[in-house]
Amino acid sequence: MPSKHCTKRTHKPRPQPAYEFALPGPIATTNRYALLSPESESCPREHRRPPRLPPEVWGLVLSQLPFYVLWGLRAVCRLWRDEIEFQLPWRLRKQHRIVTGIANRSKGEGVVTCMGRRCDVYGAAFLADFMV
Amino acid sequence: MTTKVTLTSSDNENFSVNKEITKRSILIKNMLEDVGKSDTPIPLPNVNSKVLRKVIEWCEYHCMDPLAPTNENTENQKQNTDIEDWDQKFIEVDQETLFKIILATNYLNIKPLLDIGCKTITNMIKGKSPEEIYKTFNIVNNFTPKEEAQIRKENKWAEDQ
Repeated sequence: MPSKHCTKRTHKPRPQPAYEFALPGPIATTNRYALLSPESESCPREHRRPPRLPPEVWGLVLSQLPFYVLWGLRAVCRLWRDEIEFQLPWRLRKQHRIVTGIANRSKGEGVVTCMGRRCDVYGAAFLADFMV
Repeated sequence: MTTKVTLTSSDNENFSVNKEITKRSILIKNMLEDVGKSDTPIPLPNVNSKVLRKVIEWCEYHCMDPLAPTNENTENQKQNTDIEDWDQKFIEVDQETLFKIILATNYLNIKPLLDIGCKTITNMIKGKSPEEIYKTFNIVNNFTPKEEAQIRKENKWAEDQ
């Protein structure tokens, strides 16, 4: 006797959409940014990002600055502060590893010794810029 | 005989370029591989003729450079903001054009030129005080006095070093 929970189901075919996808043409690129037009909604507007650059390019610019310059740039405006602070944990982790020489220590906190000097991780990262 | 490719800028200007040169752009390279023939003009709706002319000029000069550097090389190049003399002269443009070149190279996926653009911006930032940066990039300081005092306090350690 079939269980009362087990009822026979009939699978109705899914209704076909009444529209057709109308793509403008084949997407022939593997560059994920290629379709992000500077005028598109998803791209930050000029006035929202200080030097009028998309976030991925701005990230490239910031990655080329030494830590102490980056730290100082937080004083420019709120947007710069927020974006730079977003970058800092990555920089700290990398530089912390350089300073302490401990590859597995990933947390960017605590007191470390750098060239015989006792300093916090910010100070260590600052010094690390001169060591890289 | 070298094969030519036609690139069409956003303002409908056509540029006939050697196929090998267009391969500097990963976007165009992939497009050409997918389409399989090069006689159809390639529309570049995000790049105007002035910027496209500059980008083609750079690609022509660097046509003999090795394609696609490895990740190791790019890692070593990080924080090295030196730009070669020719590239330095090439990128000496007004700020608006510089940003447009960067956006175009990001769109066209030409990494070496994108790096040059980013390094140029980095060099514009380095060694400048926040006040100088306001002027350079036309930025308005939107910190409240309280936030400004907090930042100044947090920056003190870096000034002491």
